[in-house]
Amino acid sequence: MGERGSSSADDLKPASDRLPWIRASELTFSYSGNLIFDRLSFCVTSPLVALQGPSGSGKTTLLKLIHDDLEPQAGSVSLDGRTAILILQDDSLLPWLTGAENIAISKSFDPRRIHDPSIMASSEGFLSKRAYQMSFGQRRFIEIVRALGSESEVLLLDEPLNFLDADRRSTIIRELLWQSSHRRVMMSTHYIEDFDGAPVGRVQLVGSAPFRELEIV
Amino acid sequence: MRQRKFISDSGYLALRLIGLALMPVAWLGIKYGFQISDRYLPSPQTVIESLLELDPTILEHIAATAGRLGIGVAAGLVVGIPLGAALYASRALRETMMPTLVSMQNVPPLAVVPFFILWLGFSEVGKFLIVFLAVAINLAMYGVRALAGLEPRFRTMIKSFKVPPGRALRLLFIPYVISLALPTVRYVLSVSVGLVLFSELLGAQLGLGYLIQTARSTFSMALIFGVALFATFLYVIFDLTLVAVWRRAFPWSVS
Repeated sequence: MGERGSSSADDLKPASDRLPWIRASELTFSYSGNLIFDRLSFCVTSPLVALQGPSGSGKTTLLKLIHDDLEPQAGSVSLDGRTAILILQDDSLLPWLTGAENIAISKSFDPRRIHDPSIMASSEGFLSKRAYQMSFGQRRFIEIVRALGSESEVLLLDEPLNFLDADRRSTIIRELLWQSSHRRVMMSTHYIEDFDGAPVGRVQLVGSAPFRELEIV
Repeated sequence: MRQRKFISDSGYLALRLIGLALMPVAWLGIKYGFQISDRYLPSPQTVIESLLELDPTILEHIAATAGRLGIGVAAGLVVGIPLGAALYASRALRETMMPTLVSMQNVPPLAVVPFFILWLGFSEVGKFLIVFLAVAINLAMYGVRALAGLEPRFRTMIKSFKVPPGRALRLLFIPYVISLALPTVRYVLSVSVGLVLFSELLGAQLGLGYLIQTARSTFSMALIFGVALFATFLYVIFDLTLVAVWRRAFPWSVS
């Protein structure tokens, strides 16, 4: 885990507003013969964006395409060369490592990147537990903490608030709002009402696949 | 509401004891029911007597076989699992070593035992090497296959946090193979028991395989029976120990 006070805060510079940071052009992707995105083009400018759509509509697929984990059959989607961390719904903590060791997998982790000190404090209780001994909520929290404290220009989060209790959920929401003033964040979430009027852009998958356009607010 | 049990816990215990007794009861039933001579089906008493007459003692023979098996399997595990993970992690290593490993894996292990005996004589090295290679090659190949199916969430994590290959090998690939490897390890253990016995049968002066060879040449059916029983016990003890140690050492293991 990174030492407090040891790392530079270069990546904490304010994110410049209103410039597109995700650009998709004629993006076409099918999975197991099902066409999901059909020549989809869009731009995202808002620094904090909620990706919304019904379950199974393709939100995770879109996040994976943006992170370059999946290759489109045609067209492209890019972050214009920005570095990104993708946190999927399935937790990727290594069950044989403790919470602290799982966080330390990220060499760039520095707790100073996390604005709210209560986040690190509330994870203290289970940092020494091995991941397989933690609850879903604890594992999810450690994963989010690791992402929040790691260096990247973009955070792509797939249902980051799932399994979190109400207190932790509101803490993470506040932190995401703060983080979005320094880096770009796209998250799929069913808890958009919890952001309570905060400036969150919305990218909506409307209807069912294949998607040819998105509703962007 | 709790479901009513049709058989109580003590009932299941009784069934387990009956299950354990089936084989000896069948043995005695066939032996005395059909009046079969000791030459073809020895009595338990004859078997025990033949084992007690041995010099060196049966325990020394068991120790010799157990030592060869234990050292060979342990060395194969220590080398095979990291090798499989390293083969997956490094394409250069894979391209260099896989053709040899694949061709070696396709040769039936028993078929190569005579070569080792001819090359290395009656020495212990040959017998360790036979077991070691069988375990290490099988586990290395298993490791590559297991990691080829590595869950995408872990690949995404490695990419997101820019985990260097050496670190991924140590923190993810090796423990991941361990977490899935127990069934394969148990399989190679059973293969190894056969290999040790066969190699002792061809070239040894101590060990259960050697005893079978001696008993065969002297038509001692009782001794063959006794050795077969001890070889079975030896395998069961190794297997149970392996499972217990695995679960204790790697409690996060899914297998």
